Amino acid sequence: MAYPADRKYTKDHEWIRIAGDTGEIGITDFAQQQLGDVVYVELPDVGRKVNAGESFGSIESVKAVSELFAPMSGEVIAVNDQLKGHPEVVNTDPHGTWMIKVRLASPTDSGALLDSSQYQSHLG
Amino acid sequence: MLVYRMAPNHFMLVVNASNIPKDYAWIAAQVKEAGDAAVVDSSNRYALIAIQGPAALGVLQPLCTAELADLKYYWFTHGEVANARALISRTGYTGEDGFEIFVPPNMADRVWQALLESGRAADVIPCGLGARDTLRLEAAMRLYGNDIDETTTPLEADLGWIVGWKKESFIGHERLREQKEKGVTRKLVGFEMIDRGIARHGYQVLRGDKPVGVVTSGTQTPFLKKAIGMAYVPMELTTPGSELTLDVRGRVSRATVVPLPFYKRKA
Repeated sequence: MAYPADRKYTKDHEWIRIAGDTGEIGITDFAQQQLGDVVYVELPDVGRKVNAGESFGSIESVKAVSELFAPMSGEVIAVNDQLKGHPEVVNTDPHGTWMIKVRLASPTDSGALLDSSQYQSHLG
Repeated sequence: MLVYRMAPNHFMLVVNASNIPKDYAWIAAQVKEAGDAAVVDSSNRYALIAIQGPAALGVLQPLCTAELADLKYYWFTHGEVANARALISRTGYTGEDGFEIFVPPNMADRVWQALLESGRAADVIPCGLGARDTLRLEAAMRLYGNDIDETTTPLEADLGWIVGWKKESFIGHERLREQKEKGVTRKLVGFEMIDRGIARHGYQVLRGDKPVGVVTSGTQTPFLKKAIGMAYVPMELTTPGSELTLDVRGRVSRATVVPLPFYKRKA
């Protein structure tokens, strides 16, 4: 699966797609492959402040529970409710499935993140 | 642990590989005096390969000099597998038909490759402990270190049928008979999750906000497409249909007590 060029990536395998002052956050195809079948996604409430690099929730697969880390700081303005009933869409469409939308504290501050080709080299 | 009676006074004990030193030390400590019995850790003389599933007989038989069709479940025989000297038992920890093959370690690679080759048409694949753990839990087979340990009794684990009650004496018999007479205060039950997520080993069973029990195993079963598990709960929560409240990493989740096993193969 290709890693879209319209977004940035973290070394922890999250992606963020920035439009204006909001960012949509999800996990990469590599991450879902490593996790295996996803059975639960625990997400924060709307209004929660998240800081770059900090955990904003967790994702549980058959194998294990893993933390989700925010690529950038901001305030949660929407949570993908589809994941409550159908967490498996993270497996089937990882790059089309955002988990949270965040109003970014500084939308232009994405320099530390990887672009798609840097992320693919990071995967090796 | 499985016990193989090789001869009237000769037994082979197959223990969990991670417990070899601990189990060996305990068993050796029970030998009271010289001449009573001799205990030898012969682990390094054997490699063990399990082939499990409905197609196991068809895959193994062409490689094996022993006649396997008549071998009863949980019996064993001797023979050769892929020209390697072997002890073959109709056992396994998956709840399916299958065999466990004990061979000298230097033959393990040959036997393994021969099984994969013979099993190609039957889609035999290598699999590890993760897959085994899902299978044994579907079959509700208790795992030492998860569901049973030094703090649990066979009665609490609903394994009373394994105990040789007719024997006058065995280690721990007074305590077990007493517990049998008085009744246990907790028991291992199976549950299915009502809420999403998996309740895993060590998670607490709650009443109000007080812990009253503990989850011992939990997983998502690919076969039943449900999250299942086993837990020790107080007697009043053991009836199938009882609702359990579980602490899943700080999230209160509900589960229903169901009869064990979760899956039983057709005879």
